[in-house]
Amino acid sequence: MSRWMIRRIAEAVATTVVALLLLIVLLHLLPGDPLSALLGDRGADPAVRADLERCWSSHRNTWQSVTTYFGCLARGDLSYSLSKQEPVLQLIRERLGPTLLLGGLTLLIDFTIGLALGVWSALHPDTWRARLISATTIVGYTLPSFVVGMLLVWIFAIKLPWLPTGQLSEVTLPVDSGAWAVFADHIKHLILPLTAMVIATIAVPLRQQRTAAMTTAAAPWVLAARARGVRPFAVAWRHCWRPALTPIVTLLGLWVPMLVAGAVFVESVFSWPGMGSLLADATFARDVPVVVAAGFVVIVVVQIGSLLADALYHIVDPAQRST
Amino acid sequence: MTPLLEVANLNIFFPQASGESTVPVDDVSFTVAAGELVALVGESGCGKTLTGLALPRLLPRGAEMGARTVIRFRGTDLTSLSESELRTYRGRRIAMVFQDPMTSLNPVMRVGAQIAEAIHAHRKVSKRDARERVLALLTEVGIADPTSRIDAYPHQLSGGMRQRILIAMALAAEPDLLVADEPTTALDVTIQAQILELLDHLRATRKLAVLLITHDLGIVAGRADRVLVMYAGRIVESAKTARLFSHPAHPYTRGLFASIPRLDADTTRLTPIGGSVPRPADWPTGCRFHPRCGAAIAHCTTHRPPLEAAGPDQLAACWVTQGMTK
Repeated sequence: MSRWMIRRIAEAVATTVVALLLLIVLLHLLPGDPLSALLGDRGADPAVRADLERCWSSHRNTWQSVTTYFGCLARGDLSYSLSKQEPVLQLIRERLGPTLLLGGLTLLIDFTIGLALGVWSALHPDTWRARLISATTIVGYTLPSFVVGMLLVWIFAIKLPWLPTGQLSEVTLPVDSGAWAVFADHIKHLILPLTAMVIATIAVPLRQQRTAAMTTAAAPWVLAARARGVRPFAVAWRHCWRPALTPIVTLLGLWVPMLVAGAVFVESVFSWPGMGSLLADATFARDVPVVVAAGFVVIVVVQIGSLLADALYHIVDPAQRST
Repeated sequence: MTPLLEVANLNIFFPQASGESTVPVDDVSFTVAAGELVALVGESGCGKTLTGLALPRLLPRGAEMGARTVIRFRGTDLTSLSESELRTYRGRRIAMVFQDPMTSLNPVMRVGAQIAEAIHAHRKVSKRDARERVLALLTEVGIADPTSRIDAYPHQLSGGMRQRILIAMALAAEPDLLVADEPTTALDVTIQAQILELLDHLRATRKLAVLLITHDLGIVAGRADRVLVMYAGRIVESAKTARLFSHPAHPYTRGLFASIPRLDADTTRLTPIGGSVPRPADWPTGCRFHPRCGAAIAHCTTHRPPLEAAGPDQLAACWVTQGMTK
């Protein structure tokens, strides 16, 4: 591992700590005591109350809040959800998988179909198909993701009852269904949220790639390759697309936060049991331990994403590698 | 004997939305014989680069060729071929070397792979055989230590080396004609000399025909068999090199020589050609050189001069040299 990599990892750790610190301070500034609100007039056994407040309490000052929470984190203790009556760690374990599935597939589609359409549009500018692609994707990007989600539900789940309106799987699915039936059921539930996520996000990589590929398509080395008799497909692939990849890797690093933000809305619309809807629900319920813990997970995932993107840079750009 | 390449009535124009179109290359005709080095000389914007690009039909988007244009290579008219048929000519029959070795190489591809592309595009060869061929080509174009350079990226090589790589690339599929567009313009003077020496050497060993496109008469002397002088989209003079240098016929050619410093004459001042090259959109009528020409007569402003014999192995498009007065 190079010195560069070590420095970059140290940066990521520092960013994570600072972001978490900010999150705790902000949550601390919120007025009111969610635990008292939850317990109501009856109050609670002081022992139970102390246990629930071991990592987070509205009665501590800012400094104490920060130190107790970091102390809990160091012990691997994420405390207890106030609204779901479950250990936070347990909740996150359940919710992380569906979000990574939805987010990962969105990322995959954005950066395969999106990039391919971008390159295609760059090589065929001024055609009606390229204009159509550009227009539809920009409309999708402009609409808020939850509006896209609700429109999709309205059309494909209500007007045309083809697909389920939400959830991860069908509750009524017989327990003894075969693996194939379970898989098919999951896919059916995945289609609409995934489509909403892709519609809301694909415009950016597509346009970025189109611009980059238009630049490289006009590059002298493309003309030189054509003059060598290289096949059109190889010209597009090796000489237009490959050199246009550098800005895309930068974008990839910025993409994970975009997906997280999108997931909060889309998961809520589709009752998708992921981190996004967990975060949204917890925020409405003033469930501070969950909000902090979910926030922490999001921060870590985002940092890993940008770390990977920076590492990819070195693979994609040979000039970076030798320095 | 039929020439290797025969270009007749080459017209290149850019149709505009308004219906009018600019014609940067206007009725250009010339031939290149097998093994011959023909220099196409002219200032920037005279249409020489477009002429070179038109040969393997690599004109930029928006450019069109006239209906009467004929580009005959070994008897086949390239203007009638489809894209996929043209691909079998590009690199294989007509290869190009471009001006800027910095940008004519793909920055994210190893140079060896880029040369191998030219081999694979035209021949079924194994990867290992192609690599052997690439190493041989690198040696042939004078790259020291080819085994270590073959896997280098362009940014790791100097300008001169990159130009050698471009030449190796052009030679990879064993073409009959090399179109070299300002191959030395972007290089240092000492490197220029090396690259020109390399081109001379390759010409001699490979019996390669070369169309050398340049603005520099200095590199034409003693190297080219014939010279075509282009001005404002037309060929104004064509002659054997020695004849052109000793007896330039067209006033434009004479103007070019007058503006070059010479060692064998006591000239204290150079005589530049007055004015500047007009853009295709506002090319003058008649002889296009007449507004800048000291010898111009009234007839020149309205009538286009044809290319006619002006001496042994020499053609010039000028009413005055053709004997017209007033």
